[in-house]
Amino acid sequence: MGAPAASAEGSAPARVVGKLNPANAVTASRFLLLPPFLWAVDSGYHQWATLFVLICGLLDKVDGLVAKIFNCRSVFGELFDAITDGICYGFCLIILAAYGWVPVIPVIAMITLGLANSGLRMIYAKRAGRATNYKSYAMERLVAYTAYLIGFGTGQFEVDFYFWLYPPLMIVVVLHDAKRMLIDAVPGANA
Amino acid sequence: MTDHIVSHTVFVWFMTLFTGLVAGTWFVYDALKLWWLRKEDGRIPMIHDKRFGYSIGIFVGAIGVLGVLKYHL
Repeated sequence: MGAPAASAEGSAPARVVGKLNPANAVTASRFLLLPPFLWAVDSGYHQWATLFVLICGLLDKVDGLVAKIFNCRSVFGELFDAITDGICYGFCLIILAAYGWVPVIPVIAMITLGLANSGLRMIYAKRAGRATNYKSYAMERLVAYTAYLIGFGTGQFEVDFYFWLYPPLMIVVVLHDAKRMLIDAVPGANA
Repeated sequence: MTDHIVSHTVFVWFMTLFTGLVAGTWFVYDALKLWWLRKEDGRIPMIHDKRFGYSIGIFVGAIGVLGVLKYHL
């Protein structure tokens, strides 16, 4: 039997589960919403685009619930969920910026900082010597804010206000998390 | 096919209520969680992370509510 799944700071159980499980299927299904989203934006259909974003955000919550119900939480699932968040939300933001529905500069800042954060997580996993995911309570909240931003963009709801307030907040969180991942001790790191 | 799943007024009020309720709840929820941690030792990394995260959550919740108010006022 392989090594049990383990994650930093007690965020995942020590139980081996397969990668093909109901929770990961729900996570993967979010990719199916990207083509309809692109169609809606290209057609200028704000309400449809908002609906697709809403479903995508809802599925992000449902996968966690499914993982609990079917008892199939895993480190891979957490990483897959984080990667899916990045791809789905990044794609939506780029599309909205490309079609001029949202300001470009905050979107560039968000994506740059998001990529920086992903790089930091890779370094953190390397320092830990295993597949692990640093649990950032602050970044979890910003990811939820990002989902909302896309909804504000598709619905044209106070777009400038919400978008221009986001990058300063993300800079603070990325700097905080960078210190935690690069400088502070890693719990249970391999020697 | 048209853009209108619902009328513009219904759409705006859906956005308003959805954002306002979620952001308001978020603000209160993270404020309470931060309050419950007030006696914990902030030198413990996880407690520090939680405090920081809940503070950001309070800020995000406040931004959500302010945006809704800004739209309607």
